[in-house]
Amino acid sequence: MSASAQLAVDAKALKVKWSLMVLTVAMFIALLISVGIGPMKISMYDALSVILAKAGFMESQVSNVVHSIVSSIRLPRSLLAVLVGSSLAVCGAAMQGLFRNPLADPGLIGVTGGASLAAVLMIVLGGTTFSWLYSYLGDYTLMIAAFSGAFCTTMLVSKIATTSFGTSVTSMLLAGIAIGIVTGAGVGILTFMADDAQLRTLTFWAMGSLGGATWSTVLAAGTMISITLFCLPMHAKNLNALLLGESEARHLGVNVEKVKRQIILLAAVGVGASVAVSGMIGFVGLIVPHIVRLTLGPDHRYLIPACAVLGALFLLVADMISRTIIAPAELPIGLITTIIGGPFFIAMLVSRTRSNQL
Amino acid sequence: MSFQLQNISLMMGAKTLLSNVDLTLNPGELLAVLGPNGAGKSSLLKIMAGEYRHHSGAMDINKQRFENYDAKERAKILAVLPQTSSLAFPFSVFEVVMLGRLPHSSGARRDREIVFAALAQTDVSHLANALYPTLSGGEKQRVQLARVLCQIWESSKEGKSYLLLDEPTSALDLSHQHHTLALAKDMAEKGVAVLSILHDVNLAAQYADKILMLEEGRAIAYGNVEEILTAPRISSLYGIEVAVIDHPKGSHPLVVTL
Repeated sequence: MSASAQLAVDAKALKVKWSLMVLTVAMFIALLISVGIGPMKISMYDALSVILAKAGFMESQVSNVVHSIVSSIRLPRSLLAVLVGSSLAVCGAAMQGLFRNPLADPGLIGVTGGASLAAVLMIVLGGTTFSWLYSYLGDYTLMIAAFSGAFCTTMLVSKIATTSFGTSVTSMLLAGIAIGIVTGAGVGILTFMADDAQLRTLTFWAMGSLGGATWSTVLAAGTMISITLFCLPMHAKNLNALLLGESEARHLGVNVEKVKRQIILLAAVGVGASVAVSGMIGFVGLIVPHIVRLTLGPDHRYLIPACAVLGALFLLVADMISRTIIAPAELPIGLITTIIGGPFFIAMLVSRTRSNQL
Repeated sequence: MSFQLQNISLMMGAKTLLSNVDLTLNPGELLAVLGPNGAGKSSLLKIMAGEYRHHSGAMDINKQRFENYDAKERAKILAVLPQTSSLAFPFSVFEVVMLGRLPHSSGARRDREIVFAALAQTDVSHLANALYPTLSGGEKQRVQLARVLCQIWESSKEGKSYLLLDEPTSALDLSHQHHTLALAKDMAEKGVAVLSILHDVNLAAQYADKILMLEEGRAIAYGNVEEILTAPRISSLYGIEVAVIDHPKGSHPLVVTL
């Protein structure tokens, strides 16, 4: 009996391995193409040679202009797309596991809202009321503020939505909407107070953009996002057990309270850092995990790495569209992910309502 | 070695759910817990599973205080089958059952052997590749049973193992009800201590070694099947008239409603 069953399990492991490999290769190709796209076309080969030179593997073989465009403008931006894309997708997957519901996108449950309120607070009042914070935290100020906002809202949503009977999805989404409205109002008040220069940053930022990428933002976001990307996979088995239910996970020896706290913290770090450097880029955390689950299943040991790579690929492509579709102007990337993500979310909602799974 | 409860009481707000329950669950025996709805059966099981922690009284597993166990170490010897499980994510049956091996580090190959053996035991081998959310209620219950069996499949160096089942037969057809309890009995004979909440008095009569009767949070009777299952006691517990007669095969009592 078990021969065929065993084979199916192995076939799945093989499929996962192949998918991860193909996705990784695709992501690198997309990275090279994305570096090449822009007012000045740069071939993939030249892009690769600059990257290799930058990494110290070889001497640069391209002109100085190409080298400086790639290394100081395009490469940081593409790397930021990779970082933010993986981080949002992985945090989405982790939150969905935590709330045991595939609709728990960081944007939908208010986490991004909390992060952005805190970040806008820093942008608008950072020069005056909170200037002392900048003197302590420097480049990380915005990021740490966004992280704190993300953390507080996640804790709040989880407190509101979790009862002794488990997590109520309705409360989770409603709490998210309420928090979204409140933080939106907060952002509104701050926008009202902002001066012209700040206003421009804010608009840009509210629609999501990778345009502000420099090596220092890449480094700062990279440090924080790496923590999330390295630590969340360690909780993969715990997240799997949590999908069975909190009691079941507890019976399996999982320290549920501690694990939940750590996952919330890690997701808040990832979302906070992403929001701080790129603003509101919605729905990545919803679409990417959903697609991975459809093809590879819900096992977090595969889901998390696959989301990291596919999330990066997704945002690289979205950024390429954002840079080319109305060139020479730029369409904010957050609008693109929302245009794709909104209908996607509605479709998910409809199919789940039909099958009574909401 | 045993699972000992001393003087367990549980309050929920002003309501007493359990009062002064003493119980010893011994390896090698199948204990059925009977009682009407709201008698405190599930509360008792949840306390023993470590889910409710605001109770008073003391619990020891294998002579060690319940709270003093590391969660993972305790999970190696204490498995719990909840009444319902609401897993909505598309795990395959194999993956769900494999989760039962989470507390152990016995290696992928051994884990896989155990999973397939457990799947065979609960009669769901043919579903190994099926997606859990697509199964029927009864199939889900059998898959969950396979998962908890996996968790205590091998005797642990921590000592004797314990299996707590919360109405394991509620969604099962007649043959699988008997199959499941025969399996529980089989586990008991292998040296596991099994506690099962049951609603069907006759299933308890046929398979249990000991019976505990709960009424309004108090343990009103505990002992061997023949001692406990008497007509006056069952009548007063459930408030219906019954007669206890000999089973046609003669090995245990048979309860019939009148």
